[in-house]
Amino acid sequence: MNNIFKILKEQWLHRRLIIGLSVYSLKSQYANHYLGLFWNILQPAMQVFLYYVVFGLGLRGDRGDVGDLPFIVHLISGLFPWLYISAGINAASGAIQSQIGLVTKMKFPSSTLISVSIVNSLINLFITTSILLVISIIYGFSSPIHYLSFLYFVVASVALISSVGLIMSTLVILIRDMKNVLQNVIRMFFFLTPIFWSLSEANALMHTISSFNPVAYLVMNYRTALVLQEAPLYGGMSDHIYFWSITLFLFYVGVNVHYRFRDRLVDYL
Amino acid sequence: MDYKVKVNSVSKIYDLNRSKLSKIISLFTLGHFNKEKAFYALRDIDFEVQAGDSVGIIGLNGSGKSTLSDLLGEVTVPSEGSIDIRGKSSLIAISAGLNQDLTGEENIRMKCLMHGMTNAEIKAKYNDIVDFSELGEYIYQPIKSYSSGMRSRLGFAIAIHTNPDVLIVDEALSVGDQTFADKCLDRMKEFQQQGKTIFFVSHSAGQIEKMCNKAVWIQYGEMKEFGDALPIVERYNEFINQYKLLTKEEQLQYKEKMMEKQKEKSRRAKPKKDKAPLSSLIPAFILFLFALFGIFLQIINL
Repeated sequence: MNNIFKILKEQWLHRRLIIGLSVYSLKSQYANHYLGLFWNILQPAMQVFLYYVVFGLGLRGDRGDVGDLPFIVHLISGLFPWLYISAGINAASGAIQSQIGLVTKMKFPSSTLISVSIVNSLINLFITTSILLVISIIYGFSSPIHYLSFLYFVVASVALISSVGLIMSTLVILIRDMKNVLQNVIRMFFFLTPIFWSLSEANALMHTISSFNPVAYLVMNYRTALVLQEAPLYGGMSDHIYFWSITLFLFYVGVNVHYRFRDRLVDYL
Repeated sequence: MDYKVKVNSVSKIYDLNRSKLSKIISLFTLGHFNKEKAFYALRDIDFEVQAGDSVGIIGLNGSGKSTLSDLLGEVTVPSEGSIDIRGKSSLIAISAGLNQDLTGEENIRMKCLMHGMTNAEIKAKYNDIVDFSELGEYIYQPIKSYSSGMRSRLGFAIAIHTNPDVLIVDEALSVGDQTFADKCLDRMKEFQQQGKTIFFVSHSAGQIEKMCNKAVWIQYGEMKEFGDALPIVERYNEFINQYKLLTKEEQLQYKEKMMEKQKEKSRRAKPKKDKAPLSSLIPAFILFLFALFGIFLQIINL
């Protein structure tokens, strides 16, 4: 249990480092690019366009709106949080491996590298969310007080991403195959999560799958916060308990795997 | 007497002849399924260093010099024993943490940040670093366009300005031209006068004679001698000369014999197993039950 406080304290003590490093990693990512940070908008926009054509115009045909929402808004409100979660898990899982030279040669708390990747993902999330927020305000999809539950989404998603990231960042170094496994699992989750399809129209089986899918819980919370008129949070008490019990367990395992492995990094390369 | 660095019967054990799979199994069973085939890269190293001392670490290739310098730089932890360092230690790792796509300027700021400096400290040191690196206008270029000499100059300039109390230099002076190497040596001497502790890892006896007042001679994982630099370097030179007189085959045989001895000793030793107690699993078990409870709730709610 001590390890959990230790890792949180470590992040707090190195907060300046984490923010500084994430700024530099953004800079290096877009060094030599003409459009720079604008790619953070352009890339999701292109994906939205593609999925709208394929899933909206192609698969759905003329069925049109999802409930009160135009399909494109439904799609955006699912795709933006999805891109953030999937990219976040990917980046957090590769965070230590991609800086292996640094970790094995400098006295450096490697857990901060995971935080750096999460901060980067959050920056992306804030950029894309601000677009959706503007759309939502203009068309009045949600009442302003609901937007506050976006904060809940941020906390919950960071908890899930860092738990998976802590476990996977260690595993991908020990077992290289895990990277491929992870990518395939993530791709699978894209289809199992109500992003381009809607829970309200889905088969009962999909409801069952979604209720066991923590990503679906997060995406639906994002949607509820930004574009739906319903209660401030998605899901019932059992959904909340399910999500947090699973996340807490994963986090505990992740923290301990991380600490057990961290000092022996060189022995396992 | 008051020490700056105390190395207390330190051993570093590596696992030999063990497949990666069994390493992973031992990791995940918390060390309970673990057939150790230990190899002592370092064994029972013991010495104390005062502030202001410069210590040369000498030895043949593969004797454990770099392992010791990694331990002193706190990059890895000893398997047995302990190292007590009063102050901040810094291993000069020239190219670690440099980002190819960023400019020299950004790299300086980023690496200083990694060394735990505040923005004000970085600002104060920035000009010194640029001056020392002799990069001039190139500092605004991305470092992927640098030559290897420029890169190591930048790396060295940053490392030397992070103001460590204990500095570990691992063959770092072999880069750059003679004038730059001299400049680095001058800076080291300044450090010595400021009462900082420096460890030099080198197999060049001449450099150690020039720079150090103490020396550690490491021979196949064990500390052969520790004490004043001059006599040790002398004896080391003697040893090297004798070694050189041997034919190629005899040299190889000697090496193999020593390695065999090192392995033999490792086999006899019983390293304490690195087991985590099972009681540490109790919170994990409670959380696991909680997770099961969450799944159970979802099932009845279907």
